[in-house]
Amino acid sequence: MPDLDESEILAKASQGDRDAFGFLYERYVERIFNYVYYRTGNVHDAEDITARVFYRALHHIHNYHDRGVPFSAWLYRIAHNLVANWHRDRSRKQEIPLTEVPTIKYKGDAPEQSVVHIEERENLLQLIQELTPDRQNLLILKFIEHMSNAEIGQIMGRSEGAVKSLYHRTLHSLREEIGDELTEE
Amino acid sequence: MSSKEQLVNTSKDHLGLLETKLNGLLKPVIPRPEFVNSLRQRIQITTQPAWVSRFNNIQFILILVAGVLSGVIVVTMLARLLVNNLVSGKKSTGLM
Repeated sequence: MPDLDESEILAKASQGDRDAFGFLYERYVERIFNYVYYRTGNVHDAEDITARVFYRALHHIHNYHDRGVPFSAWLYRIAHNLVANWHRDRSRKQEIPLTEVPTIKYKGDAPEQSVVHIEERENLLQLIQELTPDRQNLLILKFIEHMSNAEIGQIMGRSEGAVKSLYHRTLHSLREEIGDELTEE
Repeated sequence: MSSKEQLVNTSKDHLGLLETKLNGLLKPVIPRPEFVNSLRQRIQITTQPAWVSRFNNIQFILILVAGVLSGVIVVTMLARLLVNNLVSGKKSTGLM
Protein backbone atom coordinates (compact mmCIF):
# COMPACT_ATOMS: atom_id res chain seq x y z
CA MET A 1 0.00 0.00 0.00
CA PRO A 2 2.72 2.59 0.81
CA ASP A 3 4.10 2.11 -2.73
CA LEU A 4 0.82 3.24 -4.26
CA ASP A 5 0.07 6.79 -5.31
CA GLU A 6 -2.45 8.59 -3.08
CA SER A 7 -5.00 8.75 -5.92
CA GLU A 8 -4.79 4.93 -6.27
CA ILE A 9 -5.23 4.49 -2.51
CA LEU A 10 -8.21 6.86 -2.64
CA ALA A 11 -9.77 4.90 -5.50
CA LYS A 12 -9.43 1.68 -3.50
CA ALA A 13 -10.79 3.33 -0.35
CA SER A 14 -13.85 4.65 -2.19
CA GLN A 15 -14.58 1.08 -3.37
CA GLY A 16 -14.72 0.00 0.27
CA ASP A 17 -11.17 -1.30 0.69
CA ARG A 18 -10.63 -1.22 4.43
CA ASP A 19 -6.83 -1.38 4.22
CA ALA A 20 -6.75 1.62 1.89
CA PHE A 21 -8.91 3.73 4.19
CA GLY A 22 -6.84 2.54 7.16
CA PHE A 23 -3.73 3.75 5.37
CA LEU A 24 -5.28 7.20 4.79
CA TYR A 25 -6.37 7.26 8.43
CA GLU A 26 -2.81 6.55 9.61
CA ARG A 27 -1.49 9.28 7.36
CA TYR A 28 -3.86 12.03 8.48
CA VAL A 29 -5.16 11.26 11.97
CA GLU A 30 -2.43 13.19 13.78
CA ARG A 31 -2.78 16.27 11.57
CA ILE A 32 -6.57 16.37 11.92
CA PHE A 33 -6.31 15.83 15.68
CA ASN A 34 -3.84 18.73 15.97
CA TYR A 35 -6.09 21.02 13.99
CA VAL A 36 -9.17 20.14 16.05
CA TYR A 37 -7.26 20.26 19.34
CA TYR A 38 -6.07 23.81 18.75
CA ARG A 39 -9.53 24.89 17.55
CA THR A 40 -11.38 23.44 20.56
CA GLY A 41 -8.73 23.76 23.28
CA ASN A 42 -9.47 20.45 24.97
CA VAL A 43 -8.50 16.84 24.45
CA HIS A 44 -11.91 15.21 24.94
CA ASP A 45 -13.69 17.25 22.31
CA ALA A 46 -10.68 16.99 20.00
CA GLU A 47 -10.89 13.19 20.18
CA ASP A 48 -14.64 13.18 19.70
CA ILE A 49 -14.55 15.52 16.70
CA THR A 50 -11.54 13.75 15.14
CA ALA A 51 -13.46 10.47 15.31
CA ARG A 52 -16.47 12.12 13.65
CA VAL A 53 -14.25 13.57 10.90
CA PHE A 54 -13.04 10.10 9.94
CA TYR A 55 -16.50 8.53 10.18
CA ARG A 56 -17.86 11.24 7.90
CA ALA A 57 -14.93 10.81 5.51
CA LEU A 58 -15.50 7.04 5.51
CA HIS A 59 -19.16 7.38 4.62
CA HIS A 60 -18.66 10.08 1.98
CA ILE A 61 -15.33 9.08 0.44
CA HIS A 62 -17.13 8.05 -2.76
CA ASN A 63 -18.16 11.72 -3.12
CA TYR A 64 -14.56 12.91 -3.06
CA HIS A 65 -13.27 13.79 -6.53
CA ASP A 66 -9.77 15.12 -7.00
CA ARG A 67 -10.39 18.42 -8.80
CA GLY A 68 -7.14 20.04 -7.81
CA VAL A 69 -8.11 19.96 -4.14
CA PRO A 70 -5.98 17.44 -2.22
CA PHE A 71 -7.57 14.84 0.03
CA SER A 72 -6.03 16.55 3.06
CA ALA A 73 -7.89 19.77 2.16
CA TRP A 74 -11.14 17.79 1.94
CA LEU A 75 -10.52 16.32 5.42
CA TYR A 76 -9.67 19.74 6.88
CA ARG A 77 -12.92 21.12 5.48
CA ILE A 78 -14.89 18.35 7.17
CA ALA A 79 -13.01 19.11 10.40
CA HIS A 80 -13.65 22.84 9.98
CA ASN A 81 -17.42 22.26 9.57
CA LEU A 82 -17.61 19.97 12.58
CA VAL A 83 -15.63 22.41 14.73
CA ALA A 84 -17.97 25.21 13.61
CA ASN A 85 -20.98 23.09 14.68
CA TRP A 86 -19.24 22.36 17.98
CA HIS A 87 -18.72 26.09 18.64
CA ARG A 88 -22.35 26.80 17.75
CA ASP A 89 -23.69 24.05 20.05
CA ARG A 90 -21.29 25.05 22.78
CA SER A 91 -22.47 28.65 22.75
CA ARG A 92 -25.98 27.35 23.49
CA LYS A 93 -24.78 25.15 26.32
CA GLN A 94 -22.64 25.81 29.39
CA GLU A 95 -19.29 27.55 29.10
CA ILE A 96 -16.19 25.41 29.48
CA PRO A 97 -12.83 27.11 30.07
CA LEU A 98 -11.06 27.53 26.75
CA THR A 99 -7.58 27.13 28.07
CA GLU A 100 -7.85 23.85 29.89
CA VAL A 101 -4.35 22.69 30.74
CA PRO A 102 -3.89 19.86 28.26
CA THR A 103 -2.92 16.40 29.44
CA ILE A 104 -1.26 15.74 26.16
CA LYS A 105 2.18 14.99 24.80
CA TYR A 106 3.94 17.35 22.44
CA LYS A 107 5.74 16.26 19.35
CA GLY A 108 9.38 17.31 19.61
CA ASP A 109 10.20 20.04 22.09
CA ALA A 110 7.34 20.94 24.39
CA PRO A 111 6.62 24.61 25.06
CA GLU A 112 8.37 25.99 28.12
CA GLN A 113 6.60 24.75 31.26
CA SER A 114 7.64 27.44 33.75
CA VAL A 115 4.78 29.29 35.46
CA VAL A 116 5.47 32.42 33.40
CA HIS A 117 5.43 30.47 30.16
CA ILE A 118 2.28 28.51 30.99
CA GLU A 119 0.51 31.77 31.78
CA GLU A 120 1.85 33.40 28.62
CA ARG A 121 0.87 30.38 26.54
CA GLU A 122 -2.64 30.35 27.97
CA ASN A 123 -3.05 34.07 27.32
CA LEU A 124 -1.88 33.69 23.75
CA LEU A 125 -4.11 30.64 23.16
CA GLN A 126 -7.02 32.59 24.60
CA LEU A 127 -6.31 35.45 22.20
CA ILE A 128 -6.00 33.06 19.26
CA GLN A 129 -9.30 31.42 20.14
CA GLU A 130 -10.97 34.82 20.17
CA LEU A 131 -9.90 35.39 16.56
CA THR A 132 -12.29 34.66 13.69
CA PRO A 133 -12.36 30.99 12.58
CA ASP A 134 -10.51 31.83 9.34
CA ARG A 135 -7.68 33.49 11.25
CA GLN A 136 -7.47 30.61 13.72
CA ASN A 137 -7.30 28.13 10.84
CA LEU A 138 -4.54 30.13 9.24
CA LEU A 139 -2.36 30.23 12.36
CA ILE A 140 -2.86 26.54 13.09
CA LEU A 141 -2.04 25.48 9.54
CA LYS A 142 0.98 27.77 9.41
CA PHE A 143 2.53 27.13 12.81
CA ILE A 144 1.41 23.59 13.63
CA GLU A 145 1.34 22.09 10.15
CA HIS A 146 4.04 24.36 8.70
CA MET A 147 2.09 24.70 5.46
CA SER A 148 2.88 27.20 2.74
CA ASN A 149 0.44 29.99 1.84
CA ALA A 150 -0.48 28.10 -1.35
CA GLU A 151 -1.36 24.91 0.59
CA ILE A 152 -3.35 26.92 3.14
CA GLY A 153 -5.14 28.63 0.25
CA GLN A 154 -6.25 25.24 -1.12
CA ILE A 155 -7.74 24.30 2.23
CA MET A 156 -9.37 27.66 2.89
CA GLY A 157 -10.52 28.20 -0.68
CA ARG A 158 -8.53 31.45 -1.05
CA SER A 159 -5.73 32.62 -3.30
CA GLU A 160 -2.12 32.59 -2.09
CA GLY A 161 -2.11 36.40 -2.03
CA ALA A 162 -5.31 36.51 0.02
CA VAL A 163 -3.79 34.11 2.56
CA LYS A 164 -0.64 36.25 2.80
CA SER A 165 -2.70 39.37 3.35
CA LEU A 166 -4.91 37.65 5.95
CA TYR A 167 -1.78 36.43 7.75
CA HIS A 168 -0.39 39.94 8.08
CA ARG A 169 -3.72 41.33 9.25
CA THR A 170 -3.92 38.52 11.82
CA LEU A 171 -0.43 39.21 13.17
CA HIS A 172 -1.17 42.95 13.43
CA SER A 173 -4.43 42.26 15.21
CA LEU A 174 -2.73 39.89 17.66
CA ARG A 175 0.05 42.38 18.18
CA GLU A 176 -2.48 45.05 19.11
CA GLU A 177 -4.27 42.69 21.49
CA ILE A 178 -1.07 41.66 23.21
CA GLY A 179 0.13 45.24 23.50
CA ASP A 180 3.13 45.75 25.73
CA GLU A 181 3.09 42.18 27.02
CA LEU A 182 5.19 41.14 24.06
CA THR A 183 8.73 41.41 25.26
CA GLU A 184 11.95 39.94 24.11
CA GLU A 185 13.60 37.52 26.51
CA MET B 1 16.90 56.95 9.03
CA SER B 2 13.60 58.82 8.82
CA SER B 3 10.96 58.49 11.54
CA LYS B 4 8.66 56.69 9.09
CA GLU B 5 11.36 54.08 8.33
CA GLN B 6 12.01 53.66 12.05
CA LEU B 7 8.30 53.07 12.65
CA VAL B 8 8.15 50.45 9.87
CA ASN B 9 11.25 48.71 11.20
CA THR B 10 9.89 48.68 14.76
CA SER B 11 6.62 47.22 13.51
CA LYS B 12 8.50 44.52 11.55
CA ASP B 13 10.59 43.72 14.63
CA HIS B 14 7.45 43.34 16.72
CA LEU B 15 5.81 41.06 14.15
CA GLY B 16 9.00 39.00 13.88
CA LEU B 17 9.02 38.67 17.66
CA LEU B 18 5.36 37.64 17.64
CA GLU B 19 6.08 35.01 14.96
CA THR B 20 8.91 33.64 17.10
CA LYS B 21 6.55 33.48 20.10
CA LEU B 22 3.87 31.70 18.09
CA ASN B 23 6.44 29.29 16.74
CA GLY B 24 7.61 28.49 20.25
CA LEU B 25 4.16 28.16 21.77
CA LEU B 26 2.14 26.44 19.07
CA LYS B 27 3.69 22.98 19.04
CA PRO B 28 2.25 19.88 17.39
CA VAL B 29 0.64 17.50 19.86
CA ILE B 30 0.42 13.72 19.78
CA PRO B 31 -3.00 12.11 20.22
CA ARG B 32 -3.24 9.35 22.82
CA PRO B 33 -2.19 6.00 21.26
CA GLU B 34 -5.25 4.32 22.89
CA PHE B 35 -7.52 6.78 21.09
CA VAL B 36 -5.76 6.33 17.72
CA ASN B 37 -5.84 2.52 18.01
CA SER B 38 -9.45 2.25 19.15
CA LEU B 39 -10.63 4.63 16.41
CA ARG B 40 -8.69 2.63 13.81
CA GLN B 41 -10.41 -0.56 15.00
CA ARG B 42 -13.86 1.08 14.98
CA ILE B 43 -13.32 2.42 11.48
CA GLN B 44 -12.07 -0.90 10.14
CA ILE B 45 -15.05 -2.75 11.64
CA THR B 46 -17.42 -0.23 10.04
CA THR B 47 -15.69 -0.39 6.67
CA GLN B 48 -16.86 -3.12 4.35
CA PRO B 49 -14.10 -4.97 2.58
CA ALA B 50 -14.04 -4.52 -1.21
CA TRP B 51 -15.40 -8.01 -1.94
CA VAL B 52 -18.48 -7.35 0.24
CA SER B 53 -19.54 -4.33 -1.82
CA ARG B 54 -18.86 -6.25 -5.04
CA PHE B 55 -20.88 -9.17 -3.65
CA ASN B 56 -23.70 -6.78 -2.73
CA ASN B 57 -23.79 -5.45 -6.30
CA ILE B 58 -23.93 -8.96 -7.82
CA GLN B 59 -26.53 -10.00 -5.27
CA PHE B 60 -28.68 -6.98 -6.13
CA ILE B 61 -28.53 -7.73 -9.88
CA LEU B 62 -29.39 -11.41 -9.30
CA ILE B 63 -32.36 -10.52 -7.10
CA LEU B 64 -33.55 -8.00 -9.69
CA VAL B 65 -33.31 -10.53 -12.56
CA ALA B 66 -35.04 -13.22 -10.46
CA GLY B 67 -37.81 -10.75 -9.56
CA VAL B 68 -38.41 -9.77 -13.20
CA LEU B 69 -38.45 -13.44 -14.33
CA SER B 70 -40.88 -14.41 -11.55
CA GLY B 71 -43.13 -11.50 -12.55
CA VAL B 72 -43.13 -12.58 -16.20
CA ILE B 73 -43.96 -16.19 -15.24
CA VAL B 74 -46.84 -15.11 -12.97
CA VAL B 75 -48.27 -12.78 -15.64
CA THR B 76 -47.99 -15.53 -18.32
CA MET B 77 -49.73 -18.07 -16.07
CA LEU B 78 -52.53 -15.64 -15.25
CA ALA B 79 -52.96 -14.81 -18.94
CA ARG B 80 -53.10 -18.48 -19.89
CA LEU B 81 -55.61 -19.18 -17.12
CA LEU B 82 -57.77 -16.30 -18.31
CA VAL B 83 -57.62 -17.45 -21.94
CA ASN B 84 -58.45 -21.05 -20.94
CA ASN B 85 -61.42 -19.87 -18.88
CA LEU B 86 -62.69 -17.76 -21.77
CA VAL B 87 -62.27 -20.62 -24.28
CA SER B 88 -63.96 -23.17 -22.01
CA GLY B 89 -66.75 -20.66 -21.30
CA LYS B 90 -67.36 -20.17 -25.03
CA LYS B 91 -67.29 -23.96 -25.65
CA SER B 92 -69.84 -24.61 -22.90
CA THR B 93 -72.11 -21.81 -24.23
CA GLY B 94 -71.78 -23.26 -27.77
CA LEU B 95 -72.74 -26.76 -26.62
CA MET B 96 -75.90 -25.55 -25.05
